[in-house]
Amino acid sequence: MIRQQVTIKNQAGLHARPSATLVKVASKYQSEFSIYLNGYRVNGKSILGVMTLAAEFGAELDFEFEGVDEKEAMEAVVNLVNNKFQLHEDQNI
Amino acid sequence: MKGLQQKGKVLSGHTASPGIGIGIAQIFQKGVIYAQPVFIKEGREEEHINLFKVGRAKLKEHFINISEVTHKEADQEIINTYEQILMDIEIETSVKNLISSKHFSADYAIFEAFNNFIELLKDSGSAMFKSRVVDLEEVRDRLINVVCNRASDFEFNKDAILIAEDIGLVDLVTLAGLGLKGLILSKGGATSHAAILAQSFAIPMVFGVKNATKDINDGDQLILDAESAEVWINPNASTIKHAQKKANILVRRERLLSKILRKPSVTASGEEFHLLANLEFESELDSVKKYKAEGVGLLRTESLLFENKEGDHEDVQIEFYRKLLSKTKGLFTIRLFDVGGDKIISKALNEPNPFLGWRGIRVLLDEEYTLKTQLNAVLKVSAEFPGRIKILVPMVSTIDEIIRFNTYLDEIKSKLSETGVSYDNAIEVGIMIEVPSSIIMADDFAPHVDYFSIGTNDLTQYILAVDRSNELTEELYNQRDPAVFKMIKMMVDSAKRNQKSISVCGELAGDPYAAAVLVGLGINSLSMNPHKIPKVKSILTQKGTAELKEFSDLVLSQKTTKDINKLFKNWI
Repeated sequence: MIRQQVTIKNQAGLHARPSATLVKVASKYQSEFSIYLNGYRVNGKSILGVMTLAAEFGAELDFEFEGVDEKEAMEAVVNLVNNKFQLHEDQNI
Repeated sequence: MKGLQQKGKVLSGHTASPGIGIGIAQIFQKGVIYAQPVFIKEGREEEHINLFKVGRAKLKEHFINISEVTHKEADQEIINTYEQILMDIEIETSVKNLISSKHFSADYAIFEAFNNFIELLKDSGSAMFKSRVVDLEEVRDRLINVVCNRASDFEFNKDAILIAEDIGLVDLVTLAGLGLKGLILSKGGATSHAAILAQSFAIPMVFGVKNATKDINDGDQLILDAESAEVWINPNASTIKHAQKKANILVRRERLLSKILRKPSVTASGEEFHLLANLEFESELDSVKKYKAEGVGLLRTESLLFENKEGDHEDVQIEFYRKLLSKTKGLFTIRLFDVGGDKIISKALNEPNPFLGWRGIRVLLDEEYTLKTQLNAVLKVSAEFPGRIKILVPMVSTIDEIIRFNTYLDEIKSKLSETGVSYDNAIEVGIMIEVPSSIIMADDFAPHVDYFSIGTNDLTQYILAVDRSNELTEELYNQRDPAVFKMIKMMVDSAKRNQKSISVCGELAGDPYAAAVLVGLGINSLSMNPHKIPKVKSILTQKGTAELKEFSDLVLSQKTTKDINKLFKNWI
């Protein structure tokens, strides 16, 4: 099990599209993915779970992965958050 | 009273998607979905879980079909999000649990499972997250309808204008395909999915029209003017005729505009030119996109200082640049702070001649903190957008200034490198050409810069010695003055001799005829207020390069602004 704190850097926060992207990427890995915010825990592979966190710009989340590919999974989603979900013009997923 | 009735009642709201729709009102009644608390007998759990799974698969297929109706990537993305909501793992787990341990029927389990999340969103306190509730409700209701084998009970009258409290995406896409003429929402929002879709389907839409569902009745004749965000209920014949005319003009104008904007930016003889946007505020991004600017030829950064007490902080700047860069494409020229001293240090300086005083590079070289933070911010952001950012230095009048600037920039770069901070190493530096001395000395400036950008607004003022804000000399200030064109010609010649690129970012670039002269002189990059792009592009694409050159020669031989105005008027 590994855990890491991340900060939401895109202005609009984790709204529908970033949530969708996050879930899509996380779902590629086998490991279980939990996100914690202010004591709440949601399934990081559930778009509804992620959306209902209502994480806004600047929110500090804890990511937790558990499973065979936990390291790779963590790296992928942390990158995604740091790149603001790649929501640049030509990089939409 | 009678007059009022003849004119018809007018309601107003906010524009979500522009245009004018004329049609017959139809109230959109979905019939609220009540899933009755139905409990199933033991042993039938598997059957109901199966109902849920089959219904989900059917609806998924429907979503996929709908996503094929739209061609825009953004729309498809929205529909993909719907699909993800439908297939959500937590919903699946929760529905299965409710069926097998609480013995809920499939539809009731779906209703409950979605409602748990809907309640959480409603409680989130964020307007943006709350506005997604309607999306979840739509997926929920659609799924329940499919599971219960209920057809959607709403029958749309072709060509109607629809009135609703709010509308979900699947409904909107379906109705758009059936010829929806307009959409009036009593709730809704400008950032809702419905608004985005209405824009891409070019369906006029207003939202926030209070009492719309009460004041408008089924069958009312309506004019929906989304330009002015007004709805006319049962207007008289002449009002309808007038609206029809306005609608036709709008359609024609849009058609012409999009035709021009779709054309490649080449002259009639096939030479490329580049039209970029002048940008200052985030709110202008929509028009940068709408008018298909190739990039940003001038980002004015002064608003950072005017709007925000801490606007010159590095982090605030980085966030501002990053936001604009991520929402635009192509080259992105950042002009360093171009202000008089009073805007940077808090004490207002009373200069007798502020336009000849302490401003632009003069201030930056004196105020080390301001220059340092801005260069740090620009360089750090440049690492994220390699090859896009150019630095533009304002108000340079002597060679010494640019040498000092370059030395300073090099120092900052090596400090960043030492601390392991990355930046775009090939970032170009250019100077604004707005003081006559920089044109006179252009050959000597050339070795110290990568490019030149002519700012005609200030250049005109300094060539003619006219304060552009002084009413008494207003008539003298004219960017179409022959002296301005002659100096630009000198500048272009020097840039060519020294193989440096050159562009224009002042008002003159957005003046269609003057733009033709500039391209004729050999400048192929113009930056302007984006809404000026269509007219400029229209002229440039109609003329061959030889013709543009001939025209610019003719303009250069004129003696007065009046002569030039006459030439412009009679050209074509």
